[in-house]
Amino acid sequence: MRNIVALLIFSCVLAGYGASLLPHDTIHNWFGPQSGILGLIRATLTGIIVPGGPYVVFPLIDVLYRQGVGIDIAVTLFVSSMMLALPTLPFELPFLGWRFAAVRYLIGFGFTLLTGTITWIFFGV
Amino acid sequence: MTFTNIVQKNSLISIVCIVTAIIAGSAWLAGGKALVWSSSVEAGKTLLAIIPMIVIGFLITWPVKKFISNDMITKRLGSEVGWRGIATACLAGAFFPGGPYLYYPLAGILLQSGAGLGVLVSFVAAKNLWSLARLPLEFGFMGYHLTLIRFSLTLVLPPIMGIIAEFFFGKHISSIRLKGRSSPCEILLHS
Repeated sequence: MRNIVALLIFSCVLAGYGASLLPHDTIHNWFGPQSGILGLIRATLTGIIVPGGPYVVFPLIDVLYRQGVGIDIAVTLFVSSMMLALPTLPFELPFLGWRFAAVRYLIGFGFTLLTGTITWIFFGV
Repeated sequence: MTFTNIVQKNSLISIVCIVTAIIAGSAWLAGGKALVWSSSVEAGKTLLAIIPMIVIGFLITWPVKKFISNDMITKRLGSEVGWRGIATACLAGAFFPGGPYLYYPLAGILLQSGAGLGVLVSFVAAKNLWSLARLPLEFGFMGYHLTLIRFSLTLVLPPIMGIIAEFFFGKHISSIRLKGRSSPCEILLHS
């Protein structure tokens, strides 16, 4: 319980401080409306490597969205971090084996990009 | 109790405090006291918005924890196949509370109990995309607009991913299961 409270407060710190500390120009260049398919790939890769699960990813998406990135980037980052996050792999491999993980990552990667593209078509700038 | 003991006993809290101090220090260097104050106010506002959502999340997950056991899910999904198994797996994923340290061992037990590949892929996908316990937190941080768009767009993913996994790789389930024989879930099954 104490750990969850600590993580929640930490998430709020990330959400509060993130907007002023994340470099606005870099975010605009990486994920802005002109970033296209590369922006979706960058969002996918960011979701794969970001540690901390929802306590870090949700505030990060909130900060990026408030800084003006598109819904397509936000959704791609969400799906990627929920489906493909490398920090959860140590839990998956011992219980399900690498073959299962490979199938899941293969399908998950394709569907992450597909979801991002569909979001861009419907909600993109 | 020494300082080292306190840090060892509260390792996560210690890490959180250290990283928070680094973030606040960076804000101080970047914009002085004013930036630290405005960012802290923003953090406080977010915390106030999150608290009711956490209460809602607890109210949703408490009955699930109380009435749905791991055994019940294993019995229901262990031998289920086809579209019915995938549908049940999606619902189980949406309602099953807890992080990867809980649902991957359960999925491992399901794998060894005879569940199909599509069922397992759907379960893990639904756990991550449909999770009811996580939804209030998502609403709190990301807002209603973004969360509703995200949820409606990913609503079809868990069943479709399960169907595709079953269609293309379902016939290899025996080799996937054999590879898991020496894994910790075998120890769990026989403990």
